[in-house]
Amino acid sequence: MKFTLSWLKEHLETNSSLDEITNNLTEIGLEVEDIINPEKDLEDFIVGKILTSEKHPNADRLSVCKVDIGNEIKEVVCGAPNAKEGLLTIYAPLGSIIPKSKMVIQKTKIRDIVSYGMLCSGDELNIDNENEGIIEIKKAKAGDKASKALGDLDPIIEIAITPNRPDCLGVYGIARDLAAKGLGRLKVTKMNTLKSHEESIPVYTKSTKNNNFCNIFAGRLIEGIENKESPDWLKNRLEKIGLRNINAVVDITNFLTYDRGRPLHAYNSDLIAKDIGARLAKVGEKIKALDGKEYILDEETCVIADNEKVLGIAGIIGGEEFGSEIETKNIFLESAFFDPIHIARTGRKLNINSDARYRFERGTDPNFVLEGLDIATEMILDICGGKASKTSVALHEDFKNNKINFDIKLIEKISGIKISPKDIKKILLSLGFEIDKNFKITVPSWRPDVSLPIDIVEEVIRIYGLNNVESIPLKNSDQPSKPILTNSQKNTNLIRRNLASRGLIENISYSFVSSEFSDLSPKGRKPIQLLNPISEDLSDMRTSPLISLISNFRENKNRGFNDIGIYEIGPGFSGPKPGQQNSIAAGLRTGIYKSTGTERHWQGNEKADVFDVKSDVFSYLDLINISNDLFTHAIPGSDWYHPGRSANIISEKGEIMASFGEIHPKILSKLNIPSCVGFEIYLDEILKVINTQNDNKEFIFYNLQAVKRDFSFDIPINVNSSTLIDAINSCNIDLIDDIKLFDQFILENSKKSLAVEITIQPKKETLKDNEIDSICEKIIQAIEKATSGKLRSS
Amino acid sequence: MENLNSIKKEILQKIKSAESDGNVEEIRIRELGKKGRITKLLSELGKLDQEERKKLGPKINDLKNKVLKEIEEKKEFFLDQALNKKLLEEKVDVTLPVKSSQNTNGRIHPVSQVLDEITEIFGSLGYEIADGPDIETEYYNFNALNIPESHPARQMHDTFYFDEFDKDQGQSVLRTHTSPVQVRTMEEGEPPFRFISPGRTYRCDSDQTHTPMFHQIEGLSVDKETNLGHLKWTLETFLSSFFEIKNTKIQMRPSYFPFTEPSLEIDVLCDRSGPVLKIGEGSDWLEVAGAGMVHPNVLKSANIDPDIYQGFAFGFGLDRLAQLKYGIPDLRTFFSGDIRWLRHYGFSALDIPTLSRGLKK
Repeated sequence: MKFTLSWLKEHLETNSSLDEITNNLTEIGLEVEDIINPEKDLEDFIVGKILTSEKHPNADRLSVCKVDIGNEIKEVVCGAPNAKEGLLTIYAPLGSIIPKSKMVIQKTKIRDIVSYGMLCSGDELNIDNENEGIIEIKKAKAGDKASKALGDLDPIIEIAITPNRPDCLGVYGIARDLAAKGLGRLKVTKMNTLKSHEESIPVYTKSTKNNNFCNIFAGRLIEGIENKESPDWLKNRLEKIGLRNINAVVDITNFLTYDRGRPLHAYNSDLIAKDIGARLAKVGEKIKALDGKEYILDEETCVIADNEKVLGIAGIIGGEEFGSEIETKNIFLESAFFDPIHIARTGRKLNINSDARYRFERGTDPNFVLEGLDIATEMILDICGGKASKTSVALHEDFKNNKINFDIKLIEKISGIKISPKDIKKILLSLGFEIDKNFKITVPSWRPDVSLPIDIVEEVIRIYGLNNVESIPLKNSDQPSKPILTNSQKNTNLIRRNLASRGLIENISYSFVSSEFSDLSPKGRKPIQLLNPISEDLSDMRTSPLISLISNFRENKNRGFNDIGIYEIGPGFSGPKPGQQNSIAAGLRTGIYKSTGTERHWQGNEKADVFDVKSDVFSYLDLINISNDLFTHAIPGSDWYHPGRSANIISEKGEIMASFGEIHPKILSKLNIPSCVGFEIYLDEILKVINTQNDNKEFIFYNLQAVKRDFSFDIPINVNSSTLIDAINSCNIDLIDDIKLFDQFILENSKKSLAVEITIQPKKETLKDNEIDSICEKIIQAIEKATSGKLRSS
Repeated sequence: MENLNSIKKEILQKIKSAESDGNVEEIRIRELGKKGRITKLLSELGKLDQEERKKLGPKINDLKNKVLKEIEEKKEFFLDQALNKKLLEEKVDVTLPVKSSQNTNGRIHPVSQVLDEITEIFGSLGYEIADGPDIETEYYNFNALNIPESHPARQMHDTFYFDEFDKDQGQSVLRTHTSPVQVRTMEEGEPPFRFISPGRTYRCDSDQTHTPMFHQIEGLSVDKETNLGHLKWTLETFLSSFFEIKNTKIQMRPSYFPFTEPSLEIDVLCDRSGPVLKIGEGSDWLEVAGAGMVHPNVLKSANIDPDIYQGFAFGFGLDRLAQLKYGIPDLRTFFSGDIRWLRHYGFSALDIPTLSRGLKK
């Protein structure tokens, strides 16, 4: 919302400075976003007279001007077509700051010619919207201060209005808030009721009890007007806040919109058949609106119509044919109250943004419909002449103000500040609230946002001043006697730092990816799509952070980084409902980014392989004490891994806790990336098997020396090493303390040799040779049976 | 006597001029071996009378010990010489680079690091961490937060939608803020509440300061007595700890959020005069958070009686806090996965922020 200082002062009698006003606006919740104060902004600028203007030798559209700035002559390169000899304009000296762009003027060489300063357009100076050429000044002489020569230097203030404050979408409402803050007195405009005996067009509203889309519809005929350009004061006012001047009638309705937050519409009454009012559209009815577009309407849209045709979309935009043109002689001026919810829905559905919609959907003052109509009528009669009829009004039901029973103790309870009842009353009264002796409060019609006692608290403290709130230490009533983090959060933190300590770099990527990537998801993991993605690249919810990592790898590879190790902990989505997401820690190693060394090195470097990512997964399982007997390998892993070089890790309950492997060559070739290895750890599943009880286990010393035995077996090449280990475990020998598989080599005729070291820890007494032999025999038999292998004779 | 002295002299001279370990061994055998000269002298002692023996015995023994010592020393000398020669041959170029250490190669993303820092601070104030889903229903994202369907604030949110509709809960959306977690968490527990909820949030918006995904962190404290004064203290305490500045000054301005009443925006004192923005000094204000007293309708949504309980809520941009604290200029770079950026702005796994250690690196 933009307005000028002088406009504000039309409604606010005040001696306050611009600074005081803007500081207070922000303090009461009308946040100042921008202040254009030409007097200050143009301090360094001076009037220059162009003495000579010659074409730039190296550029067709530029000219080189000698500019008299009073006490000296400057050479300036200028691109404006109107930079002609004799012109008085505004010169920006070196070091000055252009108000609009905030550019600092420096000595610059433009196509080999040095320019000492700049000649400015009105737009660049924030004076007007003219940007075709440099500004032309009349009564002034070279060397004058620009601020003096430009005359009208009304500061412009732009504030952000939160959606709860439709009353401040008019300058009058802003003045009221400032007056309540104590910055002056609100001027009350005295209205003479217009007297007329002329009949207007009959009006109607088809609001029903269940669907009150237009509670009041009013208007009057003004006939025999001479529509014209608006007078200068009006043109200026609208131009300063960035509105285009159209013609006096339209400008006046725009003025009322910004002055009083009261949208109006003026129809060419010659085109109205009979009766005018608000009704719901029939399905398929069409209207070509003022924005030049045709809209097809449905039965939920409220329209303004006569008994034949639609004239406009109520509260949003008028019909192109039926508006007021410069040659229009007779108009019907409409003022109505449209239901905010209705307008919001229609506006969104048709995707039309207008000043009217903006106000109606936030809530206009229902008690200002007729007064606003009168003010505008007077202005039209004043500027365009003509004769006004009586106002015709269709009212669905009387407006009832909100009433609130208020207990003033609530103010201290909520804010912690004590405010005297006298001050509370004063604030509320100045905002237009009425208070009876029992503190029953009547809310003014322009404040649809106030309906609860808590809303009154806000009104009082925002005007009283939030800077009066004092810090009060919060009692630490329940000092944490248990950890703050949940097990899930603790584990996420643990894996995050574990993976980073393994050389991997944490990424955080968008949760959505392009369909090119999401299509790579394994079968059964259908990517869900957004209905309104921000771009095609970000259309699908990822099923796993691994997808983001693969995508990030491609980006990095294109920048020349082939060897990277990255990870991300975040959601993978399985469906479009809340909760259909899994917390996944995914990682990717590419090129020679191994777990044991990540760069080219004189001691040698190899490509990262499946065992690097397996160790990423297992280092975490070890950390959280998920021992080998709590899971099994299922081979191969998910579809997006190489079927011969991947696995899923399955919990005892059969859930996948993790997967790892080489990324499937088909995916690599589709995305044109070199081979890489990845993993995913499903944190929600891990959490189910993790032992959260921290029993303190006693350490047991065994004084007897452990016995180590090595065995190697020749087994079929297709038998996994885990079969061998499982076989040892299945013997249930509790003296076995450790099993290490320390060697593998491939033999001929589809066999391989695996070697294990077994540590036997005697607990009570030293084992006799035959006891050890019997343990070994048991193990050998179990392995041979499970693997169809043979012990290698040494 | 002279004889013994000249023998000693002669032997020592020989040892001295020995050229190898073998030479020394030869001398040892010749003098101290079974048939050696000194061995012989010793064995001949027995043949002398007691008087002579007493006189000569110690002298010969002295001679023996002296020779033995000299031989051992000379032998050690040759051993050392040989070892040094061997060691020199084993020399490697120790200036060669070592493999870089994995825990310094790895990185923690600044957003994760900053979240850990924030967790430390709020943890010490008794706040728990609450999580919630990224995909929400319109009910939790809007209605339960006092944002009914046609509320203009819904438009300000630039919501992402899914083709999924539940007749009670409305359409599925990507949460536009972390506030739905407020209601979900309160629904499941009993007041009083004190928690923060960090997480990914999404809005259909993109420019230099907006990315379609970003992180928010929201805090909620609900009890019988919790007012704006407590809110102010909490935010001052948090900002002081986070930026490690004594007595951070904040300013509260009225604003509007449907789920709080009154609603405020929080500015922190800053200095923009230099090339680097400084928090906690100067005379400018920088907006850092939205806050307010929880709207009674939100408490009702979570089945909490607003006549008994009240509370405050606040929300920060997590990415923005990271930007401010660690001087990271462009929000978009956070999520681009650029390895160069991550190496530069990321943290080592071992930089675990704790209150006792300090929260900065």
